Amino acid sequence: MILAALWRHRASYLFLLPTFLFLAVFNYLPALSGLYHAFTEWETGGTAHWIGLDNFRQMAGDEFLRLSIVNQVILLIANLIKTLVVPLIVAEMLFHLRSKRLQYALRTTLLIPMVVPGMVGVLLWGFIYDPNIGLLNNALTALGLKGLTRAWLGDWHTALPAVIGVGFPWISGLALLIYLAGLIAIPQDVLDSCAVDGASGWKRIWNVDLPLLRGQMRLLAALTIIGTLQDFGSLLVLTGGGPGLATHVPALHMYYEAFRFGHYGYASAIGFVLFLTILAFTVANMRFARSAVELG
Amino acid sequence: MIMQTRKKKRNDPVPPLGRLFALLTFLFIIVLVGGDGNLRAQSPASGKAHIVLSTVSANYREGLMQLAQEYERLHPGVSVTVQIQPVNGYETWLRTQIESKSDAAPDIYNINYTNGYYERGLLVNLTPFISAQNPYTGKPWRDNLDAQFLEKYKSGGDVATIPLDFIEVAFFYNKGLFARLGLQPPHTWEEMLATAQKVKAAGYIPFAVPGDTDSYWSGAVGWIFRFFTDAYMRDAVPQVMARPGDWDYDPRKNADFHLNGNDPYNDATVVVNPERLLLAVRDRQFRMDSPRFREAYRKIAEFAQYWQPGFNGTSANSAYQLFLTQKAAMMINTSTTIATLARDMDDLYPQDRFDWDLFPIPPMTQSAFHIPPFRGVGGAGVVFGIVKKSDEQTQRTVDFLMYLTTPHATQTLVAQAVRARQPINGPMLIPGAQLPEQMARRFSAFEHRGFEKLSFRGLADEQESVWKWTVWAQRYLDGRISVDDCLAHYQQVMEEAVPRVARQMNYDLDPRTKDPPKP
Repeated sequence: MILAALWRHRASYLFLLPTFLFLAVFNYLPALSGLYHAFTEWETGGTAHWIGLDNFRQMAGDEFLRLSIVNQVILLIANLIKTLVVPLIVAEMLFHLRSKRLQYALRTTLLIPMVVPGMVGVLLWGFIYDPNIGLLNNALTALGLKGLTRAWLGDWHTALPAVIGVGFPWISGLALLIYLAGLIAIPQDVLDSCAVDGASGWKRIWNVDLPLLRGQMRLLAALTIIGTLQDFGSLLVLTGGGPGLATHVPALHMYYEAFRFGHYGYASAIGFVLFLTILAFTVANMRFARSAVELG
Repeated sequence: MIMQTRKKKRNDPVPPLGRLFALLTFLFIIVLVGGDGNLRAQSPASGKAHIVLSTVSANYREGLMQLAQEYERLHPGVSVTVQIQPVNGYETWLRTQIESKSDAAPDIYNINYTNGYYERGLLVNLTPFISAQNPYTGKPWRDNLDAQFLEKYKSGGDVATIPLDFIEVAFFYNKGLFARLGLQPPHTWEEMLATAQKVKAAGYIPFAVPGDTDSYWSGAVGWIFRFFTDAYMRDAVPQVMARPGDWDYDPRKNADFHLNGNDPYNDATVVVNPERLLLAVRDRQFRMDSPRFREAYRKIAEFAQYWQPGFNGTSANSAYQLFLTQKAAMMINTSTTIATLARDMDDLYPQDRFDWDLFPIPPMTQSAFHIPPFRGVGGAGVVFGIVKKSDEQTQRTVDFLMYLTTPHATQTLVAQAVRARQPINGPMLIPGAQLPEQMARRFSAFEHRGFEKLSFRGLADEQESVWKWTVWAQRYLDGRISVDDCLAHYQQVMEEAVPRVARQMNYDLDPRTKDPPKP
């Protein structure tokens, strides 16, 4: 019976097959392999040997990993603020524009940068921060503020803030779209009630918009946490984790352990812990997403 | 009619859109599985024996292609593919292909991207072939190879790598600016710092030095620490050289060795026993927190005062731009930069061009210790090894490598690179090449200076120790920790690295027994 149903809808399943095939090969198999290898000693070119929890014990005593967690927390908080606050402000401004044509034009303008690959943006910011030929220092010099110029990514005090500054003014296209969709979904009768009650401007944003956008905010928060914990590429390109360990994060540590030091087992253990952390947030995200639907 | 058409469509096993989708999926998989994405100079001919040379040395592309074609004409039964690979991802690609013993693994490649592969049994031991006759020169193969570099790159006493040319570092200086400021190229380290002081007083940056993480790891700052520590550790060579009874002791090289700091090649062919080196570090005979290292590190910090502000955030390209735009009077860079700088100078507006030249790293004359002149820290630019495959394939590939290391081949590589306006890495290690006069003159700053023997930036280039050293050294030059703190951490990094290096190289830490490569 089931087979007959499968055969009847074989074309549909054929459509689905490649997706699941690639998911299995490129997402699930490596993840499962990583899970297993987290409990092994596995060096470049060698065979993996089961060592139980030794890798995790090593992690507990890894000074550089411990320092990288501090940076990660700072980056995470900063990224949450960047993603949750700035796009919300812009979305509110766009939503309240009277001219729909202008609203459409501005929305399109703000979303077009989404087509530029993220790494291109990171590289551009690397040029902007360049201490010798960079835009930022040259602009400061031209404005008579030469005293403020510095090696933004090479100075211990400014490296992490400079990394946080990448992408300024931080209007994430995806976050903006999600917020706009949330604002558009607010029922007209709710808005009418607000108007009758005399709630406008800040009052409306505070008492109506923000509570009704809570689901979107939770979703964006979860996505930001996942993205931030996973990301090491931009730091690898911008600073390599330096100067010293000023911008080092656990994901970059994992990359170095695996692909520069050849400690695949230990890197898998770091990846496993990152995976557990990210999984926890993903599960939370699923719950929050549900509440967003209810609110919407 | 309509009903019939609909019925016919329902009976169709796969709808047209589904067929199209299935076809596209199939093609995608074929492309994914079949395409290796490499730039191939020549496709393998069917039925012929096949040799694949994979390299990142795009500057020798034309020369290698010509040599491959010539070799094919000499051996009609053999086809040669020259793969010019991008540097980015080359190491990962090699590791996946060679370690998995893939058919797509190259036969010859730049082995300096896969440290420790000979010890892991993945490369051919070329020692038996070195003394054999090279059929293309009529002389023993070793006669056309650089003895010192063969020794430098030996692994466990075996030859597994064949260097073709070498890259070396020196100081580039703005000749026009020097003339305007009444300066001459310095002859001593102290003169150089005095010159730097005058340059600084005139409002220019004395030295453009990249100092980002990559630069410590594998670039300019790493070179500086290496030539310093080589000089400061020169007299420690006898402590770790192979002794009678050691598995790699060679009386012809070690028995009569007497240290002579004035001869940069004095210890060139001396065999250092790698296990004795590890033991010296483990047993703290070599201490990173010793007075010698302390002075060396202080001298480097003194030198760093003349680098551009914010050097820790400066990339190699940014430092180069400082020199090119005449903001910096000097820069430390490699021999490959000669051609690049000459080309970039041509691209500048005439009013922005300037005369430039080179001077070698000058010797230090003031020290609490007797420090010999600094030596070179460069290495082979193109250094080939052969992946272990069948015996027949090994014989075939060795024969091709012998062809690549003839004077004719060297001349071809140089001539084609010059013709294509490509940089030449540095002086060639195979005799026979006629370099353009100006290039030969500029390369002279890199020659006859000897090569590092015991330099320290991490331990034995083990990457984890290099990275950890990078972290502490960057903090030190940034002024965040004292020299004593830096060296105390470095001592710890070195001691922790010893067992890792021993495991990686399959050493049992007994200098008397030869440890075989991993099976």
